[in-house]
Amino acid sequence: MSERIGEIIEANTNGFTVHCYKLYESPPLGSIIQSGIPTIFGVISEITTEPLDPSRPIIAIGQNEPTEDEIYRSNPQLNNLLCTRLTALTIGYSNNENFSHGLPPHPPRIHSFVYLSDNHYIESLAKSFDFLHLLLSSGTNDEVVSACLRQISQKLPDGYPFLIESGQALATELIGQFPRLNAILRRLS
Amino acid sequence: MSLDFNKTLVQMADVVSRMKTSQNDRNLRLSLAAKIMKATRENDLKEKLSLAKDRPFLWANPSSELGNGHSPTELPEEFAVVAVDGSHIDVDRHLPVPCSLINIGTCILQYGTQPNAHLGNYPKLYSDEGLYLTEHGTTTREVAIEGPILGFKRTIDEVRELEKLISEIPPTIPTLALVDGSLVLWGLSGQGYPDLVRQEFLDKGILPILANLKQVAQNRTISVAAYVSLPRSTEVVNALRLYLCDTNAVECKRSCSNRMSPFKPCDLPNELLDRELFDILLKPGQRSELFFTNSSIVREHYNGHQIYFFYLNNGQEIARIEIPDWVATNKTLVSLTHALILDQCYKGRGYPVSISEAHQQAVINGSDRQTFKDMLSSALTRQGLPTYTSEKTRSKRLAWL
Repeated sequence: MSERIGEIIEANTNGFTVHCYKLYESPPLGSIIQSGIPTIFGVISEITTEPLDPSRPIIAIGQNEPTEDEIYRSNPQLNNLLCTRLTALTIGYSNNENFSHGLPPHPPRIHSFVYLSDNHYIESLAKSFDFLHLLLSSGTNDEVVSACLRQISQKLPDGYPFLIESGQALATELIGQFPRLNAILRRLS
Repeated sequence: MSLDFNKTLVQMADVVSRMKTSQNDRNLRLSLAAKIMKATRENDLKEKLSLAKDRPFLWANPSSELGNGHSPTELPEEFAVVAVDGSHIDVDRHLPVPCSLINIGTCILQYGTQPNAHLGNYPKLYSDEGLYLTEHGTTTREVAIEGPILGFKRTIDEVRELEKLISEIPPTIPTLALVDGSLVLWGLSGQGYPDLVRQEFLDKGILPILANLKQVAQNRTISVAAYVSLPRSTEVVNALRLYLCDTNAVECKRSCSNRMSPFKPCDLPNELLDRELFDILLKPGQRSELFFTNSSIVREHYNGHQIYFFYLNNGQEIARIEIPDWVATNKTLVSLTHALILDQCYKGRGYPVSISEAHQQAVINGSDRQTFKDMLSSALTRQGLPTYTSEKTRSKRLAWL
């Protein structure tokens, strides 16, 4: 199992929100993460760092500090008072190694542990492009789609053929939306 | 019906107008008092104060001259600051269950090569026998722990928690332990409370903790300090007043009050505050000389645990810092306390960041208080017990027509 990155603090069948254990230590945008039983897979679509207590405003405090790191060294409590959260769009689930594209029957439980997905799951996921339809119709930024495809390709033993095939799958999904398709493809190269 | 601001505003304007009229005179007296403080020689002052007895006001004993200022020393490379603060929900007789709650907030901040922070809070609910102080072996002498007595209990709980926090810091790291408020339990002076209360909060409370901290300090570098923001103390002003006074004690006792004197020249510092004088005398970052308090509660009940204090210009305000005798008599610890508190104030924009974070952990806001009441009612309902509130509370909630 990969490193545990956080816990689910909000969930529905379309996606979930994760509170990361360490400030600023979230996997990159587009990464595939997994959680719960049955295992639910999601693509990181947004990463946010904000005060743990929303009533406490953040103000500039580093005017006399020589570097940004010094701000954190002089104010170690910031690591306890700020938190990094990420939101993920659900793209599939698996039960006993059978990978299913699409939305799960139930969302994961609150406080479920969240892990960066193992490579063998990513390889199963990459066998089909059904997840692209979910991502493209979710209303998320197209940058998330291209980031996701790049992240998957980097995890595969040979990611180049995957990127070529994903371009073809995108062309099928985005018939009649040439500028949009073109923008995503440019971000893949 | 809400407050009638029109009627209130007229009275406010009157108060402010009177303040403005007396402001020039006050500023002149402040300036003169500061000059006298700076010019006063240590020996003259100590001689005069040593002869003073039985006055109707409380004065501080200086360890040196009144008006000196000391600049801060360098910060150590590695250090830690621990702080506590507390909040409580008092016993409410309009609630179906007699109970109180003390919430202690804690903050550990470690600076240097491995900066780290730990914040926590520890709520404790008191009910039944926990709501009373009872003299050992009797059931007839008991005192309810509520109102100001619950405040004393909270103060002791805070200092006790501070003791625990210190033990969590590696002994090689110089550590400052901070509490909000005072090390002197002022409210216990006089005859307002039975001996049982003083025994509980002094003999079994703060005194053994201070003794233990003194013991711990023999093997590691720790300082303990209480931080008073916007202090209203007049002990140093009263020392000046006594220095100027040429009225005999009998006449003084008959005619003067804690606030003012009708005689010249000791009417000069009438109604002035220590912090106003030190605002003139101390440059940003400087601390005053050390003083020790002449309070009757310390003199009569602190068993030799003398409490010293100094004023600090933290760049935003004049704060009063109280320290126990074993810190005050160690120059290195006084310098460390001064430098670390000042650094805490810089980091906290005018108030020690560690106390501020401990406060954030401890605070029980209005919504929390209502939730506490609702949870109490739910817990009773779940157990099939009756819940009720007073008609007074009900009528306040629903102001019907």
